[in-house]
Amino acid sequence: MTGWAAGARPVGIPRLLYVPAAIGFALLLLPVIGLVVRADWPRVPAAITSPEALSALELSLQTATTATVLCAIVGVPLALVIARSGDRVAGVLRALTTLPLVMPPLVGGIALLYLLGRNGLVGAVLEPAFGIRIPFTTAAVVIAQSFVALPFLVIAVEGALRTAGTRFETVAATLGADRWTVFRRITLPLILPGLVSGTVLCFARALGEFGATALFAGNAAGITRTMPLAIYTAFNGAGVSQDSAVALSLLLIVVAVAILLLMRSWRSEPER
Amino acid sequence: MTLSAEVVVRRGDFVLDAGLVVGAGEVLALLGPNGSGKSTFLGALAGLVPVTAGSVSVNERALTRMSAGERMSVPPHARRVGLLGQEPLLFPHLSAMHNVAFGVRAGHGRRVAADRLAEQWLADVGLAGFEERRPAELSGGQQQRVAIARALAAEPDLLLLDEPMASLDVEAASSIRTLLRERLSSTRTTTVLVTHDVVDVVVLADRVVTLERGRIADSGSASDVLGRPVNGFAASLAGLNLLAGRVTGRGLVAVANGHIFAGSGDLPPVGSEAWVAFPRSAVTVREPGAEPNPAVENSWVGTVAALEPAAGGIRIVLAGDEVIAEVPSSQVLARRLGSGSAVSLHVEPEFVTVYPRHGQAQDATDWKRASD
Repeated sequence: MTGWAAGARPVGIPRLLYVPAAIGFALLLLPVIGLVVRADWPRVPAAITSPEALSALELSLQTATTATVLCAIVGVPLALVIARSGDRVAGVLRALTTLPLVMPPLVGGIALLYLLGRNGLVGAVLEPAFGIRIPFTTAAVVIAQSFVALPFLVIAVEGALRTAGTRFETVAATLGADRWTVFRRITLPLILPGLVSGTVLCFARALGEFGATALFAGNAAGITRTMPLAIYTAFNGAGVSQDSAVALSLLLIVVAVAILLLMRSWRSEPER
Repeated sequence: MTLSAEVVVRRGDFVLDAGLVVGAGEVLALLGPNGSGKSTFLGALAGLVPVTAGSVSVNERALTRMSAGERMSVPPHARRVGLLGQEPLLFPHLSAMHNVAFGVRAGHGRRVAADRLAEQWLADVGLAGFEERRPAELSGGQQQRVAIARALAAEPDLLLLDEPMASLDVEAASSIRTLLRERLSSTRTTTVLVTHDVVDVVVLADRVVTLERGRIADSGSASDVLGRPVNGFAASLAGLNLLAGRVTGRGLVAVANGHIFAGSGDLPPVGSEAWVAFPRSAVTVREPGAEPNPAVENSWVGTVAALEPAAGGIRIVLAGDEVIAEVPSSQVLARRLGSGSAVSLHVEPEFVTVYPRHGQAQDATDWKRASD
């Protein structure tokens, strides 16, 4: 940036644009405020410490963490392959990778059922041959969450890889570092910020996953009833009041925000 | 370590077809206009650019062998060929010391020993006390010092330098150049240096090769290649005008547009082809007085086409004339020269060098373009 541009006052934006901007902001924030106002606060502590709520929270944290780790293990290599492919191949791979992003989660759930279900493409082999049955188990929850969350991680990491470029990797190679050393000591550290934000997005998406889980894993308390399913169950009033649903929703929001802040503070540390 | 390379690289319409031998500890300067294939050549030596045919070896160790029957190329990390470019490209997440230690450790050095060696190298490049600095906390010149330390600490058999001083300011470039000379000679590192800067050649190079459109155009000592250039690029690098002509008499050469130059040097026999070279700064520019006698050597008239900046003055480009004059700006001001001004030009015979032109199939327009 040239000297005069550095200290100059920005040109500013047209005043009229503040109106849609404010509407957009309200659309995002007001529902949460509504939830907070609507909550029956005296009964919130009891609702969120009930055995059902705690079991759903525990299951959610376990499955979302497992799904995020799985996504990182397969997602970083996938992003690397896409980022280092030629333009045409990368375009196709990227489009296919982001399919779950544009696909309604319910459809994803049906697709998983038809792949891994008793009569599914793979499921029909798994059960008779290995005695493995996936649908309506906790494993199904993790698979459903990974399916919907993986694209977030891949897109973030691929973007970071493209920004980092290959020049540092080339220099590292001319200094005698083999491919593994380059990956471990140059590529990974360079994309770390992108990897962290991708992981956070991935975790948040897994934590909130409902549609695919409901269809593919069902809604069995303690096995597949994660927080979103518990909220849905409570809201539909299976003997419980809607107040519990509101309380559980608040808990889910608090957990998600807490993790976001935790990751952010951890991320800012290594960068001086 | 002796490098011998003979490579053909095809990239679309461009073909690089050139060979080099660089002796152990020798610094070879590779010169050439933009697009002549210098960087492609370095890429081929480093194993970063696919070679179509040919071979590269360092001390009998084959790095690349591409022929009809054999396709072998050692990957970049196993070649022991270092590369240092215009940008330092220090790893931004590592301290200065860990940047330098990176290559040492990659060569299977122990961590502690590598760190100690890196400290020593930083001290050698004048950066003791900067071990823990991140690259972003260093100036451009300091970063390039670290990059030099990093490249040499890895103890490459061959070091490739691609305009390493080009992005530095004049003072930083000068001290980095001195540093490189010291370090290259103390480590006796075999080096190929690509540059556009005549000072780099003078300070660093033992030998010079010029590349033009993918082929070797000339090679020899710096004083041969730059003192008696045979192509426009080398001539412009040396600040010389270079004209092709034919010997018409004792010490007299007629050039393409009929002007006759008198000079001295390695005089070829009458009737043979010759080069005429004289410094741009030796051309004097005056208002046209009486029409100069065309029979009088070394004087002619011309029209100013453009004025351009030159080191320490102004470069006068003439219309329809290959000669370029570089004069102090006071002369241009005093004579109110501008585009379209008629001028009378002269160069003293003592500045004119004449030497034989051996069957080089280069017409005058050819090298005029290359000198831009």
